[in-house]
Amino acid sequence: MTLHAAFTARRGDFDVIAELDVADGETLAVLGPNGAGKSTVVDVLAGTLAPSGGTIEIDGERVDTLPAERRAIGVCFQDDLLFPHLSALENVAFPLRARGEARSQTHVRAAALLARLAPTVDPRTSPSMLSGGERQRVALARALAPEPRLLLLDEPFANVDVSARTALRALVREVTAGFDGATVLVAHDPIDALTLADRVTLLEAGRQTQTGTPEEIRAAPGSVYAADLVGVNLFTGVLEPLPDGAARLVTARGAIIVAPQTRLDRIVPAVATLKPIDVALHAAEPEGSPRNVVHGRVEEIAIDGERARIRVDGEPPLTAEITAGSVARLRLTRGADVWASFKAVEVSVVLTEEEAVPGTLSG
Amino acid sequence: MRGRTPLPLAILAALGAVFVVLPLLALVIRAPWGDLGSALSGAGASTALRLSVEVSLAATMLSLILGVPLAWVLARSSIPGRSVLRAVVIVPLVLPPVVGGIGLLAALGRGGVVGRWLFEAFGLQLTFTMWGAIAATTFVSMPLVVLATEAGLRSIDPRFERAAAAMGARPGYAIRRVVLPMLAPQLAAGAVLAWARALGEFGATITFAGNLAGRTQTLPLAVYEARVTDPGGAILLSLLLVVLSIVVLVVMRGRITAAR
Repeated sequence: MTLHAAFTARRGDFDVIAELDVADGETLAVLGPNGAGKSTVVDVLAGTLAPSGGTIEIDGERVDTLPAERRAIGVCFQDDLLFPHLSALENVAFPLRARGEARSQTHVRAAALLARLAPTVDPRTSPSMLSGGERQRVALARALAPEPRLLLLDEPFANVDVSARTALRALVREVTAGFDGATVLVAHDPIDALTLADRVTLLEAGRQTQTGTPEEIRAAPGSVYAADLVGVNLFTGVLEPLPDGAARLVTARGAIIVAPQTRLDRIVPAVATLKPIDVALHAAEPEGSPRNVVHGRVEEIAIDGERARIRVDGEPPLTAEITAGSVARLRLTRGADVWASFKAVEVSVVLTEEEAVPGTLSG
Repeated sequence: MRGRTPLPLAILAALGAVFVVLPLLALVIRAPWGDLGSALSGAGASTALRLSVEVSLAATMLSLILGVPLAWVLARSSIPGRSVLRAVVIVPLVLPPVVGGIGLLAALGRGGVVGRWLFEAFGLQLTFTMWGAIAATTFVSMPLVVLATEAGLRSIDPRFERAAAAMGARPGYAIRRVVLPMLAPQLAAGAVLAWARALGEFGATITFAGNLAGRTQTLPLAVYEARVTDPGGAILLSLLLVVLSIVVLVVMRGRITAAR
C-alpha cells in the first residue's frame, strides 16, 4: 500500500505544490510552521479540497477524481472533530456505519478498537466529558476503524496537554508501526516529526524545501529555517530509572540525566530531544551542580546574524545555540575546550516501547 | 450589582407592565364564568379548537419540511442571488398578514396565477378548505423556521460536515446523522416559534381561506365572529387561546434556553 501524490492546490491567493511518496508501513511527516500550507495538503489528500492539478494515487489507484467519501483514508483531525452528539463508541463506529455496515457488527468492532486505543474511556461517554488526550485517542480509533489504506494524522498532539503527550506519542508510534498502509503525519513540532516519522518533508510557504530521514535533515539542514526547526539534539538509547526518581538515558556515546518518568520500573528503549537553545556553554567547568555537564572540544561554529550554533564533540555530542556575543566572550574557536550544561527537565523523552505505557495496543 | 431604579424609569416600567397585564386581567374579570361549560362544550368551540391545533401543527410540519432545506441553501450553498433570496424569504414576517392573504389569493386562488391551472388540471382548490388555512398559516410561519435554522447552521463548524465526508459519509447521510442532530436545539426553537405564530394566525387565513366553521374557522377566527353575536363567548374562547399560548410559552422557554 503506497501513496503517490504530486499536486498543486490553491486556497485564496496562496498556492501549495507538493510531491509525496509514502511506501508500505512508512510514516512521512509533513513538517512546517503555521501557514506553510500543511492543512491544504491534508484537505487535498482527504478529498475536502480539490487540487488545481496533478494526481493522487493510493495503491496505484487514482483517487483525486473521487469524492472524499469514496477514498479509503482514515483521518485523525486537528481539534479531533469528534461529533458532539454521538458517544465515544458511536464516533468510532461512524465511518463503518457511513459505509453501510449493520449496527450490530460496527459496534462490536468499534468497541474492540476503543478498548485497545482508549481503555480508560467509557464507550457511552459524550466527547465533551473527555480530556484532550482521551479525545485524541477516540479520534485515532475512529480513523483506524474503516481499515484505511492511508492514515492521515493532522497535528494529533495540538490540543493535548504536555502531561498526556508522552503517552499519546507512544500510542501513535505504536499504531503507525503496526499499520500496514502509508501514514502521513502533519506536524509543526519538530519533536513529533523526528521521533515518529521514517522520513520528514519540510514545507515552507507552500513549497517542500527538503525531504529525507530525520538523521539526514539534522545532519545537513537545507536552510536556516530547517536548521532551526530540526536542528535539535536527538538521543537514542535505553532509559533506566535512578534511585532518586530521575532517569538516565544511555546512548552509544555517553549518557544524560532526564526528568523523572512516570511508571518507569525497568530499562526501556527511548528517544529524547533537547533544543540547542537550552544548552549553555562555559569556558571552564561550571560551578554549582547542573545535572548534565558534557566536556568536549568545539567542532564547528556557525554564526548567523546574532545567533551562533556550536557543535561540541563530547559524550554525547551536542549542538548549542548561543548569541554571537557569547562566542566572543567565551573565546570559542574550533578545537577549544568547552563545557556544555543543560537541565534534565529540558530533555523531552519519548518511550519507544509499547509496554512502557500501560493500556495501549497489545500485540 | 443592582442599582436603584430612577423614578421616571420605574413609572414607565410600571405603566408598561400594566399595559400588558390589564387586558389579560380584564378577560378574566369580564368572563361569564357561569357559561363556561356550555361555551366550551358547544360544537363551535371544540371544532374551532381542534381545527386550530390541526392547522397549526400541519403548518409547523410544512414549515420545517420546506424551511430547513431553504435555510441550508442560504447558509451553506453559494448560489447567485443568495442575499436577495434571504431578504425575500423573511418578507412574510414584516408583511401585514392580510396582504399575504391577498397575495395567496392572486397566486393560488381559483382564478390565481397557479391556482387556475391547479383547478383546471387537478380540480384542486385551496380556498375555503382546511388546506387553504394551512397554506396561509405556513406562509407566515415558515420564515421563523428559516431564521432559526440558518442561525443554527452558521453556528455549526462546517468542518464537521467535511470530516463526515472524509469518513465515508455521503452528503445525505452526513446531513441526516451529523448536521440535523447537531441542529436539534435550533430546530426545536424554530418549530415552537412557528407553532406559536401559527396558532395566532388570523389575517392571511381569513383573507385566503375564508371563515367557514369546521373547515377554515380556527380559534382566532371564531373569536372574531363571536365578538359581535356572543361577546361573552368570545371572551371565553379568547381565554382558551391565552391558555394555549401560555402552554407554548412554557414549552418554548425550555427550548430556547437549550438552544443558546
